Amino acid sequence: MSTRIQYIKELEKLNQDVLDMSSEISNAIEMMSEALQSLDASLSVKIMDGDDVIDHMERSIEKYCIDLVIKEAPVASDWRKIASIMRIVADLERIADHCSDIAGYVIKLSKESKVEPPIQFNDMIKIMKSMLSDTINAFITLDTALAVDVVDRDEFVDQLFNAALDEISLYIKAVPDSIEQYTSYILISKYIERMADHAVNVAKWIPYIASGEYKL
Amino acid sequence: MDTTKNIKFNVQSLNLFYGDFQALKDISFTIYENEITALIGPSGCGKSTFLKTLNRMNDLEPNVTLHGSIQLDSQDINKDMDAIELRKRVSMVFQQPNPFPKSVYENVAYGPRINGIRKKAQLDEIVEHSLRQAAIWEEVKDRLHKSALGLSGGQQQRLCIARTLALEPEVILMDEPTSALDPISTMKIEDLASELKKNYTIVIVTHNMQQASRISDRTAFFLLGNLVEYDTTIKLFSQPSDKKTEEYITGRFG
Ligand SMILES: Nc1ncnc2c1ncn2[C@@H]1O[C@H](COP(=O)(O)OP(=O)(O)OP(=O)(O)O)[C@@H](O)[C@H]1O
Ligand SMILES: [Mg+2]
Repeated sequence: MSTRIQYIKELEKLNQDVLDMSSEISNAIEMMSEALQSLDASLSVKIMDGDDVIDHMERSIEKYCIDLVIKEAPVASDWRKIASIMRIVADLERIADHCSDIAGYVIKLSKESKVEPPIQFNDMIKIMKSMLSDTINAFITLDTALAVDVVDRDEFVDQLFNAALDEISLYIKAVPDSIEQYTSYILISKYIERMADHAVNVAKWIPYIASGEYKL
Repeated sequence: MDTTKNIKFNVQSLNLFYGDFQALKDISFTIYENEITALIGPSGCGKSTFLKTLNRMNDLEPNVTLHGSIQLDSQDINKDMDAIELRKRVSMVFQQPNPFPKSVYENVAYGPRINGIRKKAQLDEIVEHSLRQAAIWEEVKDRLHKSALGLSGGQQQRLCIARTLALEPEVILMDEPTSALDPISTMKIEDLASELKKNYTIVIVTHNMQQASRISDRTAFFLLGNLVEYDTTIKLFSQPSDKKTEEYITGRFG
């Protein structure tokens, strides 16, 4: 057997594809955060349109993995990486979906009278974004410690989410007319909280890719 | 070590030299009964040499020196056993099928006959039973008295396995038994090996990594005369502990 040069190149391309997909998603989160602050409907439409591109990236990475498995019968760390990527891209794709979901509510909010948004959003989005970018770094460098740190950070997002809900219910009691808007904000908080959960799912694969350690 | 299984071979500190050239370096490991153990590694790493030590085929070569011990069922095969006796218990199937230029029937009956079985009815029974065990009976039952050389390569290989089985060994050593065969015949030999391990212990050398992962229970990775890693096949192919094993099985060198 000779060194499988072509195969190794294909594995490198797979890494690059995952990086490209995550940077596309980071952009979407960036836009979502901006649209949410300024209740910008046209930016929201742009986010929703962009989701198709990310869906397509997910499908093509999946297909690439399937082809590699069939052609190359990967084993050991190669196999662990490919099997994990097939799961990881599904979580990444869900993160992008939630950006679109939030964009949909931003459009709705932009047509209603403006109310004070919960103050926790900025921090929630900031932490969630850091979780996503760190989990991708940890994936590329196989940094298990960083992955564990991402998992731990989810706690803060959860706390902020609960605080946001408390704040929203106070607003609703104070200004019952704003219930429509605040219902949207409740859902938006939930989506941000879920986005962090998906980043955690991705991070949990990293120890397995790095060492084969698989927790049931 | 796996204490739930019986140990068939216990190899301790085995060193083998061809003249001054050391082909096996301090090899220690155990081969378990009723399992398939696969030996993998790049060409020249000592797989065949190791396999041959298990039934003392190296005895036949001049200038071979061997240190260390190999026990079969706790008996030292080099000290406490006669080579002929050993080869009855531990027999070898080679890469190229090598049937005798005789009929299918005679190929299988030859061994038992040498062992003193003369009655036709008994020989018939052994021949049929062995051919059935080797999963080739249906293909040859109507041509038992035709030359074995007329069979396809894959059929010849299964015939050679039947010939081996007729001698009722305990261990079957296979040195790249499918490397000369097409995929269908290969699959048949692989199925056969998996079936046979219920009653036999099998040690197989293969260059086909997927074959090792498909059929073996444990895999040993050899490199330059060293046993680099030995583990359950699932573990070795999903989570090898040695960097060199990882590099070899993933095609980073070879
Ligand atoms: N009779 C011999 N005399 C001298 N050197 C030998 C002899 N047989 C084998 N060798 C050497 O011992 C080493 C191990 O050979 P061996 O045949 O065991 O390798 P192998 O792992 O089975 O390789 P392959 O995969 O090519 O069959 C090689 O370097 C080979 O050249
Ligand atoms: Mg060999």
